[in-house]
Amino acid sequence: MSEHLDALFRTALRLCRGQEAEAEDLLQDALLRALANYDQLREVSAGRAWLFTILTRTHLNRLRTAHRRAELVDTELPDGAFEEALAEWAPLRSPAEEMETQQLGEQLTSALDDLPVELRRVVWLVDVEGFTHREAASMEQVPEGTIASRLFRARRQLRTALENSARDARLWRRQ
Amino acid sequence: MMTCGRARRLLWPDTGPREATPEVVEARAHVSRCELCHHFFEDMGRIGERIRTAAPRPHAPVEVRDRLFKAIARARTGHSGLSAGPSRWRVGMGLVATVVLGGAWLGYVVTHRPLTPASDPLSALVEDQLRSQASQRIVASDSLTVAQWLGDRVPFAVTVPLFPEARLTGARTLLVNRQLGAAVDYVISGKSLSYYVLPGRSGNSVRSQEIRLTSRSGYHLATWEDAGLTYALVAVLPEPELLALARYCIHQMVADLGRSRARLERSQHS
Repeated sequence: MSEHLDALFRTALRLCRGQEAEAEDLLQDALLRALANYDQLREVSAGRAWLFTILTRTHLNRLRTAHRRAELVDTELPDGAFEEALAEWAPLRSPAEEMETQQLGEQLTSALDDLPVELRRVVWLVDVEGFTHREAASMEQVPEGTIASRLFRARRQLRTALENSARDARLWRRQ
Repeated sequence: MMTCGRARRLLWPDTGPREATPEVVEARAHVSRCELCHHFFEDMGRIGERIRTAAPRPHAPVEVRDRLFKAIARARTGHSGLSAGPSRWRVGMGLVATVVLGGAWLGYVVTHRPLTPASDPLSALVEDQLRSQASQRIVASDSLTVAQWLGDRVPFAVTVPLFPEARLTGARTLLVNRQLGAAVDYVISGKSLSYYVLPGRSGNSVRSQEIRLTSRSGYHLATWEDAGLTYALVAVLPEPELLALARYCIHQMVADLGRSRARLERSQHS
């Protein structure tokens, strides 16, 4: 279970854009909710997804309470617009042009924090914590298609941010 | 006509098995001959993988774990008596304590309701958090230093006994069924000897001091109770030797108690 606590903590940390006190508060709130509702957990093997669901929903509730829902407005894409965005994808450059892995970690953290919170939550749950689209959809209480759309937009935005950082770094090295 | 965007949406990776509708079949056929779509799916995999490998994965700091654990413990027990300070929750759960005491105490010491049903993931999380702090210990050969260290961490006074031919090596705190206890470690004749003090039967303040000998997993235990606390000596030493050490230990405790009373009386008279 130790890895769950660490994973829950780092997820809370990213959801709170690296603000440790806020993340701890969110996580504590989520764990207390989990404690109050643990009789709803039917299978211990599903404990990890269950804890993340509670963390995600606690975070959603907090945003709603704080009237920050407006942040969500332009994160959704209608099907047609999603297909257009998918079609516009330009292939990645060669790996040699990508950022060094060491730099990537730092830049990724910054780029993640710049994402709208709904995109950040989805890319973290799916790409970092390895939940399936179905699990993420259940946590977020949205259709799987919405998860796909958010994940694509998040990856696209991260790619742009990281490519810009890599280009800046190359320019800096040449000077 | 199947477009790249439509094909990519229909075949978006990681959405699990999909029904092979005519449209999906057509999308697959499109992707199989479309280089850009092929690159697209490769890129999605690469980006997902890079995010996964490069994302920061910090561990929850010990003090954060500690505060979270205390919040959960307070909520579980429904009282605030557990908030006696962070050091109370630093737990040293050594191998001997886990293997030997876990079994030895079962049905003997603890009359409290077990608080960690196996099916409760939060309890497991809490227990794991406690175990994760097993490195909290002091290495010291000075009994006063060890007694002070334990005194800062456990809610009862611990006399650190000194045994002939035994070398004091340090101390730990430990948790047995959510009761915080103390362990003092020695080496005697090249073998480890541990002295445990744990909260005993609830409400039992009677001095019994009857020494009981028992064995678990190759270890011998000498246990006794006094003034609401349970004491144990655990080692692989022969039982007669362990019994002698236990008597010696009780003798020191009684002497220590006598000195404490004398100090108390002197302070009341002055």
